[in-house]
Amino acid sequence: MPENDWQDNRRKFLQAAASAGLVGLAGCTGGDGTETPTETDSDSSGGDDDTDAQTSTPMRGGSLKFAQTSSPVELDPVNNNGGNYSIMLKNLVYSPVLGYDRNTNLVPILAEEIPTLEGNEFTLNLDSDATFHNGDQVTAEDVKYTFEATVEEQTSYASNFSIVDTIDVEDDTTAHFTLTEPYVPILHAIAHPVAPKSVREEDPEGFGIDTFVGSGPFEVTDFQENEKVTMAGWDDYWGNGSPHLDEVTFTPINEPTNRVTQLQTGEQDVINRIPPQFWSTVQNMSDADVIEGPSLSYQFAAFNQNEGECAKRDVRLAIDHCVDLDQAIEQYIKPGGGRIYSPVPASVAEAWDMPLDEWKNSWSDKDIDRAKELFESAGVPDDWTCNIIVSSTEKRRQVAVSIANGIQEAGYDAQVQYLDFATMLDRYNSGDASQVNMYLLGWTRAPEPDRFLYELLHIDGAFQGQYYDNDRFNELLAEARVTTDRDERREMYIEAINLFVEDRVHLPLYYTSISMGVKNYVQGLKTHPVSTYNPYLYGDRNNTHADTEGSNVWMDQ
Amino acid sequence: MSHLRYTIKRLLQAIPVLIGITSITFLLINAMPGSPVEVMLGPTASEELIAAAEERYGFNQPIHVRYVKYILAALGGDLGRSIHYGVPVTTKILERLPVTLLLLASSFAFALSVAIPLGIVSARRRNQPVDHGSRVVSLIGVSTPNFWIGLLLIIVFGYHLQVLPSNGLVMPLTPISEVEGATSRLDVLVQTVRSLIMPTIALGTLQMAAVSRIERSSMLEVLGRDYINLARAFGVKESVITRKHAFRNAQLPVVTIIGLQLTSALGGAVLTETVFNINGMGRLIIQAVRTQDYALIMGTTLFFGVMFVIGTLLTDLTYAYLDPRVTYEGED
Repeated sequence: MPENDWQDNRRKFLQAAASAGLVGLAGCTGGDGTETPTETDSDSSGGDDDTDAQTSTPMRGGSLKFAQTSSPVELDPVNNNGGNYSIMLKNLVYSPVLGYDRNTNLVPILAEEIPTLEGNEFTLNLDSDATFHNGDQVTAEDVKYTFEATVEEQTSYASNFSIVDTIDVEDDTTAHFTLTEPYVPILHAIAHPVAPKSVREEDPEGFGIDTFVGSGPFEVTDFQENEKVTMAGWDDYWGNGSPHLDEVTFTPINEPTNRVTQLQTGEQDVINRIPPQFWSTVQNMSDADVIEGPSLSYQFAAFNQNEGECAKRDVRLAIDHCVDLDQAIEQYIKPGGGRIYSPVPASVAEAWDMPLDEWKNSWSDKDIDRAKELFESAGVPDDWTCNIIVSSTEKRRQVAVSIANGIQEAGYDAQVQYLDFATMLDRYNSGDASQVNMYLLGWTRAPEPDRFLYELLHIDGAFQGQYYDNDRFNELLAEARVTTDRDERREMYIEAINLFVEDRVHLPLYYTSISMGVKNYVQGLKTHPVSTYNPYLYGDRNNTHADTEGSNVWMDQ
Repeated sequence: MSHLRYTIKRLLQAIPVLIGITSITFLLINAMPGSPVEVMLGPTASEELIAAAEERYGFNQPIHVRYVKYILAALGGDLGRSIHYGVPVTTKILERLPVTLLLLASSFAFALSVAIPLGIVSARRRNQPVDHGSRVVSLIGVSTPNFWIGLLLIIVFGYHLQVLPSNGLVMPLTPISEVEGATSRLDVLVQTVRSLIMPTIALGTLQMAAVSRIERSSMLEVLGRDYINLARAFGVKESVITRKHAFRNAQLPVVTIIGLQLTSALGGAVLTETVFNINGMGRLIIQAVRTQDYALIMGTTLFFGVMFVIGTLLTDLTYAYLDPRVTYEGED
């Protein structure tokens, strides 16, 4: 071996050995387990905005290797066994009726235009050019079949469509929907991929596992659960143009150290979810960088207002005074996310022109003396212990401890219990103050205020745990979901959120970011706020708004 | 009693053990908060939808009815259907089993091939530098978690030196066309060996350390016995004493520890497979627990129980081979 080579190798080895302990420690503490899609706190990291500056002309060809954090289980639009890891891939293989642009606005995909709701009815017109990979036209019958199958087969999508009373197919491209009651957010429910009836009916259990026929820009060529999924760009895509990429391979790699290693060695071109401790490692790679963007996640600390001390507004206000959330989020969340001030994510609030600045200034600064006064005026006994429960996510644990420390500083005891997610789901909604006074959870939904407010906060909402029962608040949320005028709905949501802030129903904590490590030769990749739209490899069909841009990733090598 | 009759008797004794394992597991998973249907349908599912799905999967029946049905089906080889994967549990286990068996075999081969010579050398050179070194290595091996070793290996040999793959395990019989860069079966085998090196070391280090400590102490004990001193007095060479007179007699405690290590290796495989992204039984059981997939949890737990029973049986049978003085009940 030439001496120079030996010296190089020796230097590399010593460098490796020296850094192993340090980086290894980071890797160990940053394990990001796969989470269920309802436990919506990702371990992603933040920082730079999209780095998609194109240095040369887009070209057709190339095979992109993408490391997911977990494996899809199936790719069937009717089922949802694999959670977000499956949906990410379904969005490339199947076209939805409606989709979202990067500003979270609804845009037509299979639909000719966004339907107009009239009372509890609307008519859906499909693009007559839309075809499946097998050449068959996408018809209204396929849409009806897909949506109805979710209810008949009792999949987790059933709750989205259970409000649909009938779907009458008028012709190949027209379907008339009648709802059991007026429900404006139904348009977000139909932002759902469509399966070909004739193919899926033959073998419903094998569809999405052995058989894949969609109408999206990519076709599945190989599906091995927990090993890899390979897709080919569909040359005959019916939308605007076709994908530049010849092939995309998705590999599930759960361990973040391993994902970063695969990016470094070039075995992967893009890796999803960069934990904070690896942020600089990826940035320091000479041939890779991090792209980042906010997601639609709402992480919060909720108060049990069913009974106990937290049912008193002054106590909730006092706890708001106990903690410096800006500091806690700076310390524990950034660069993987940032502070949030309302139950509606900032991108949705901006799209609806809501007064974010006003809400930002409505939350209290840390003031222990004021907190003590409020606790005292509320008549909180000296021996009160605030029970805070939190699931296993590290970020939430750290913020929960910050809140507990603040309460202790104000002279009361506070205990943080770490629970696994299933136990957490079993306990957070008990309403029993001896078990829970506060709980920390996350929520991610489609970019529509109703999805963040009604299900989470209305007294009849499906994810009820705080039992905030304000008649005006409930009335506003119920009225907004049946009001078709957007301006009227906006006013209702603003009033409702004002009540939410005033009464301190939750302490809104933070949003998480979507982040990816990307080799420099991968061009045109951006993050999309709807987490399941990532990797946003092809989105030209979404480019129906003049002020938004689509996406068509290509390889500059 | 012949070896065959003894083996059959031990296998029959394993039946109540396995029934105990299934009973306890069944009770425990049903005592877990939440239900697989709630996990599957999500937190916003209506009560009607949850009730309909529970009826569909039979979760609405009393626990004892479900347990009896499960046992009867299991006796017929049917371990149920995974609610998460939508396929029979046996299909999933058979798909993942070869991967974990290869990993276990490889890690034990590594552990024994390093530990036994290390233990012998350490015993023969007691309190010399090589003994001190061996003891330090053993201590580190015993006290270091295998996922940590795995991460360090990935960082050094995968990230910095880039000499070994850190992701997945190439099975020796994988079709040539599916292995990147392979043009012949030999290439596939080379890839198998390369992909096995780091997971093997990560998983096998604990076994290696534990066995080498036992080997050393057992050899020390045997080498201090009277018949060994007698051999020395007759002028028999130390290497001959070690090989012919001491080694075999020192292996009984080692065999015991190897049998026990099988179960800890199965546990270690869960972490090792996660770190190296290997698609084996370990990751399957993690997925089963995360999704509260009752049938899959039962199936994988039963499999681990069977492996434990086989491990202890093999240990007992190996005793007789190593030490002819060991007799089975009733043997002449």
